[in-house]
Amino acid sequence: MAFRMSEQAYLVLLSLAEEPRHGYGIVQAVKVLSDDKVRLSAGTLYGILDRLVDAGHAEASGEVVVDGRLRRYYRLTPDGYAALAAETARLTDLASLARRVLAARPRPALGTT
Amino acid sequence: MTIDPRFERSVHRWLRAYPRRWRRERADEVTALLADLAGPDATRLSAGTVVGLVRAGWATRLRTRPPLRHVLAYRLMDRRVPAPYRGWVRDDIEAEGSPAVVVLSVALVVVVVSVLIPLATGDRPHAPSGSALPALFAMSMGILGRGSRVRRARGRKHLVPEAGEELTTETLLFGWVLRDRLTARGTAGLLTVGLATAGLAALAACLAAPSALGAVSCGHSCVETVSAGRDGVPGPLTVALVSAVALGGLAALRARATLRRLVPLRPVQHSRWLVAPTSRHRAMILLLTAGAVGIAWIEGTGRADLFFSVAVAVAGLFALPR
Repeated sequence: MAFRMSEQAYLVLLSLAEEPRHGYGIVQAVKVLSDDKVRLSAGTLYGILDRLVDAGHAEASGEVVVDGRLRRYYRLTPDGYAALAAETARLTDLASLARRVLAARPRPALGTT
Repeated sequence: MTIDPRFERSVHRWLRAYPRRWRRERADEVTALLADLAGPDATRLSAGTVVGLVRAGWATRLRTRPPLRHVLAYRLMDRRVPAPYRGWVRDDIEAEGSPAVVVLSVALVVVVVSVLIPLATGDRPHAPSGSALPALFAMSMGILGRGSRVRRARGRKHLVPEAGEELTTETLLFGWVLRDRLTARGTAGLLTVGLATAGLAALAACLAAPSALGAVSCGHSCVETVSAGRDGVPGPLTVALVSAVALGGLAALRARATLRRLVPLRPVQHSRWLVAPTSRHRAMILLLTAGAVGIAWIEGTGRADLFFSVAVAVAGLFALPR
């Protein structure tokens, strides 16, 4: 099944591209990457992680127990890096196109409706 | 800082929205994440988190279930589903005879009999009659009781490798393992409460039941059932009850002494697979107790001859201290 790249999934991939992270680490990283605009809930995060793992974009890379709490780390696979790069290129092209469209559009004169 | 047990229970309750196979693998790390997100003082999940978990859990169920054609072939023709969905089959087999299945089955029968059939025949829907309760009770006990036997049979049928399938450490297959043995400590409390409730209800029925039922004429083609008042507790019944209480008391003292002698030397049971009572066991005890109380009420109020409650009272009082 093709992986559907939502903004939240893109941010999760991006957070994992920096280093392997556990669930709470991913939530914190996404918060920083999105400038505090995206706050992942546990249900959303694990839905995305499940789909990333099923698609072969991420994999579990180990687990540790800290203060009785299980931390399972996830990391990107080569396919995951490729998907992230492809999506980044698509977003870059889209941003370039948007800039050209906005630059070509005549600005409305002030005071008119 | 370890997770508050109350918070952990709250998480586990709501994680039931996810499939068993998912919980088996992920429950611990999700619990840790939720504890991190909730902060140190949280004792339960917030309403928003619960809604998010339930929604995501059901989305996971839908996403990981086999395609409809495989589900239909499995349900209707008992066909095996492809190997990637064997986890779903295992969950389905493990859910066989669970309390949730009992509740759903009983609800389905009630809806069909009390609502759909009356509507189809032009009548108005009605509540189940009192005579339907024994049938529903028997049906519930039947579903609960056949669980382990059916699970083994279906495991042998469905959890087998396909021709040419490469086996890995994660391949799910049927195998012979030690059967579950209930831990005494976990089960004794439940059984005690059930036995005490059933025994006391039966005892009360024995003491309160009318001594005789009779039929008197109330006019032409009319017969009315009446119950005669009690003229004291019958002698044999009194002897049986007093004997049961005495024997039970003696057995309790003996059991206590034996336990005190054995507990410090209790051997480790390597050859047994010990499990705490599951919700299925709790449901069975609850249903049996409810059935005994129901019969005690019927017999105690003179709706039926006193018979079953005498046996339950004697057995309950005798077995309780053990």
